[in-house]
Amino acid sequence: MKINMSINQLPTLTWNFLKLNSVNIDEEVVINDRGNLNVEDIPSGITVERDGNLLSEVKTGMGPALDEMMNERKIETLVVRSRAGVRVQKPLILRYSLGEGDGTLRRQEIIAEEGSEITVIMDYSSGKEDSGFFGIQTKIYAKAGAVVHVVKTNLLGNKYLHFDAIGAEAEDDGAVDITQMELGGGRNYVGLEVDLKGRKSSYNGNVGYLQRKDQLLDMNYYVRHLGKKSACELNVKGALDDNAVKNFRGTIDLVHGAKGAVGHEMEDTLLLNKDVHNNTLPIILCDEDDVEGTHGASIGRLSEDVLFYMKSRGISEKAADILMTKAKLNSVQRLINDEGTAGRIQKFIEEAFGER
Amino acid sequence: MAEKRSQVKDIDRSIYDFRYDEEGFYKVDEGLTEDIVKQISKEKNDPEWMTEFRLKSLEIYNKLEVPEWGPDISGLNMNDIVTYVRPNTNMKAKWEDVPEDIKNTFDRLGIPDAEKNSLAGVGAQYDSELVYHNVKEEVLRQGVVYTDMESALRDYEELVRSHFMKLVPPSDHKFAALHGAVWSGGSFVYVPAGVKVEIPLQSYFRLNAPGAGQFEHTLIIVEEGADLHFIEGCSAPKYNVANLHAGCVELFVGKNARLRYSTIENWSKNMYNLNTKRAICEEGASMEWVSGSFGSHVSYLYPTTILKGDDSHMQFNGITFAGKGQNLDTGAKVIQIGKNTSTVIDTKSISKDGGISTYRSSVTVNKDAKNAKASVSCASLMLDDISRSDTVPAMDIRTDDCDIGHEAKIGRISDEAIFYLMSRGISESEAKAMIVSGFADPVAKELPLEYAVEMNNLINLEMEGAIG
Amino acid sequence: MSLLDVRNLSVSVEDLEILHGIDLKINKGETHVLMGPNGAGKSTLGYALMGNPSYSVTSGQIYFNGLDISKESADKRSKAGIFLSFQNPLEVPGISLASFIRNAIVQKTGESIKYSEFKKELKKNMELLSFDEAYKDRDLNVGFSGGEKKKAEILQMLMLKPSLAILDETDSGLDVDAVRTVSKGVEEYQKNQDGALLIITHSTRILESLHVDYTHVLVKGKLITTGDSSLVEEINEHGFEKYI
Repeated sequence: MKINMSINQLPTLTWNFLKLNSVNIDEEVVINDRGNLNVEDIPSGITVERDGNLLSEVKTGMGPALDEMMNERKIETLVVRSRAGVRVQKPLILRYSLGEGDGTLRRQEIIAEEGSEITVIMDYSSGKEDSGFFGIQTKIYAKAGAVVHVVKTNLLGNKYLHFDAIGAEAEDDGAVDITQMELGGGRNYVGLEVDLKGRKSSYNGNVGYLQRKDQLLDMNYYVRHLGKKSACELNVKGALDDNAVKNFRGTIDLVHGAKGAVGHEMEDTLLLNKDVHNNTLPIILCDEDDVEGTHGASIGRLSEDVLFYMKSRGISEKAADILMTKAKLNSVQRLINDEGTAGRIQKFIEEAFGER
Repeated sequence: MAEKRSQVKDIDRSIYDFRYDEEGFYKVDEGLTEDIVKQISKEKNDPEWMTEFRLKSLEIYNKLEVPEWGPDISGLNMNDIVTYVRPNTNMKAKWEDVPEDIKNTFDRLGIPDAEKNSLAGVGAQYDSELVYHNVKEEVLRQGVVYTDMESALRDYEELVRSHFMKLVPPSDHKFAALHGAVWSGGSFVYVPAGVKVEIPLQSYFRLNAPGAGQFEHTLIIVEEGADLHFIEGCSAPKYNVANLHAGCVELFVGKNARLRYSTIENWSKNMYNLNTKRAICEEGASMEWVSGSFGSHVSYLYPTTILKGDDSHMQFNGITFAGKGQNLDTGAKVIQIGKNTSTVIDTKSISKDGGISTYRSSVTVNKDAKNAKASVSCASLMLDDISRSDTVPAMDIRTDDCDIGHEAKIGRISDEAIFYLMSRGISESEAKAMIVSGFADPVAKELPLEYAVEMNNLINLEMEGAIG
Repeated sequence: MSLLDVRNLSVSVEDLEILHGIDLKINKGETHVLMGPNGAGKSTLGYALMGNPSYSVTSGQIYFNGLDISKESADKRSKAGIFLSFQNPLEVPGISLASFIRNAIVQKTGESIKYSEFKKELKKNMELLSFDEAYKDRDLNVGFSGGEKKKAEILQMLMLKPSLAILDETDSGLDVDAVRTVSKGVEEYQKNQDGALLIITHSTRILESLHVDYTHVLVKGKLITTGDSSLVEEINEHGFEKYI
């Protein structure tokens, strides 16, 4: 099937020479629906159904093109729902196992009813050298007072084309907490939009990544503060090695009326090789005075100070690079409340550095 | 020189809002055609290559589209803009010889006094031509050339030809092409190797005729080991017809040379300011920008620095104040190419009374730019809830051997800060003005005192309307 | 052959010479104290011995175990057996204290160590330092108090077993109890490993319970005088005035 679409468009445009306004995907992919989904035991208080498209109004950061593609192909939607008032600590784990030559589109919706709490871990993996296409869309809706934790772990093969479209909305006091580990895949496109509609609604985003060899990670994050006192905390950290490319677009939009809203974003990128390419575009749009918006970015090699301390303990520059990369990934992985998933991530990282 | 101050007094907004009749001035037909460009070229006695350059630029202009990003410029109808208005006067070496009405305009702006007291040279552009120009003897004796572009084209043709629109080619964007086609007036400065110009050179631009565009070209060449501070100030009276400013500034900073380029821009609030400024630094060179943007209806302004040589450095300090009816899109661009290059960008923006300010920047670090450093910091202050402030900074990094830091902050004046000042007997409006002045201070500090005073007066003036 | 042999060492920071022609010999097992007023260049000597790239050696040599290490990088010097405790050690979110030390040991020895052995030794040393064992799983120095950071540095010294440990103001900013704990760790180092010490300090509290062989006084980047442990007491009483 031919894909020709524009994705990951910036909410506000800037200079064309930066080549970050949007991404145009124009290529042939095979969609054979071969990927396998394994749903481990479903915790009580959570239901998993295969029914309609309940959150069609929720937008993802990837843009409407993927929605249209999924609608055209009548891709089924998995609906995960937590019962009102029930706080479920045990995570629901959705494991997507893919193989060589698989081409799969999937979508899922997570609806947290009023006052409930739910954790959904999604893990995508395939053989290390596998190629294929995996497009996934996840829409999240946190009703009043609900807390949604979502974990996404990309351990796909290094020739996979991967789309991860995420959209979320939160009502009053609703909290959306998304932790992502971007480790595998060949070309990875992640588009996230969170609309903080409710008063005191919040988004807490943590992204850890390691991109090596010919890997590409293209991210478009868009957080809209609509509700009063809504809060966003976005931390993106990781490392680039070999000739990996990473684009990070992060937009905090403080919409008129979002009095007392606070939006923070921070990017921390460790560069490990002279051939890497890093683009960082952290945007704040501000149409309200009673708000606070900040962003920060730190990009480069290990500083002289860090390196000297490491070396004074006998740790070579190369080992220090690895140690500090692991430190960044660990601090994100640690947020994942499932030993099995954490172990898989650890293994992936160890293997990655084993062959470095 | 610090003891002697030029005579820029407290600013009265009305002094920027007067104008004189354009009786007797020469005007071309409205709109832009090949014939008009030819007419301009003939009128200016261009050498043949320049006529060709203009026509080529017009061709590019007609092909290029206006940008799809940034503030709306649909209020700008090119056919309504008269591209060329020339006062019926020739260059005068003595102030006494400048026609009375033009002289009055400048007297009210305090220019000649400033020049008499502390300035090395003042080139004041009245509409499109330099009408008054003088450079102090000692500067000339050092071999420094400071003249208008037309004279430079005549007297230093080869130097102009080898540099003119080489940094900003007409193909850069639509308004650069327009500039290439219809440019007129501006300053030319040449500082020979090793010469350190002790006192700042200054130019003062004004637009007077309604609907007139201004397309002045500034070309500055600072040779090896030389040092120059150039100050550009702009103001224009108000008119109802849209005004366009599409100037171009090209700065060549030689090996181990230093150039500081300071601007306080205060065009009238109907101006479309689509200005292009660019500098290139050779080995060990240092480029310093100080930029204050207060005027204009719409601004697109991003001074660009190309750090080509090893160990070259750029510093940008900017402030933008967007008030009622203003949409100011400002920032900076830098391209780091040489080894051990460094960048420091520090900007402030203030939005008030429905004004929109956008900070837009890019830092590009090329693959071979070993040991590159860049530090970008931008802070925005929202003074009310009907204004807007956006921050769009990009970093394109293509080497690991670098240290890039960025921070940005948007917010309003904290109630605690105002309360603290009020508890010490300061009124609320004074407290706010104090805090805003303090916010702007890092930029004011980079300016010569008389300009810092002018800038502060502008800020106070802008603040008065809002609070009371 | 001396363990450390510093010959006519001059050191500059950003083109400003801080140390001028330092000569210093330290033998195996000896404890040396370096005293001097603020700004004398004491920490500079510590950094220069460890090989901080911001401190450039403009003349002279540093010999360690007979080898000229003046141009070696810090990790090579560490592997050779030099340790420097930092006044402001690095904070690393994401790496625990234990895993950092383990990493360093593996790097230093080039071979992996048995986890059980490592754990046992770590526990023993943490007990010695009255260091709450829970800290081993906390991120390196993140959220540690001043005293805990110093303990973490001494813990690393005990675990890495250097042949020369340079303690840079390890006692500064600590209360009496903490100083006592830190000197317990230092005593342990002296006792068990026959290790040499260079203690940089401007107070004498840490020295009370330690055996000192030599005392050096550094003023304005020059070693003014050298004596035995009695010099410490003298300075304690009269200060540095005599030497300035």
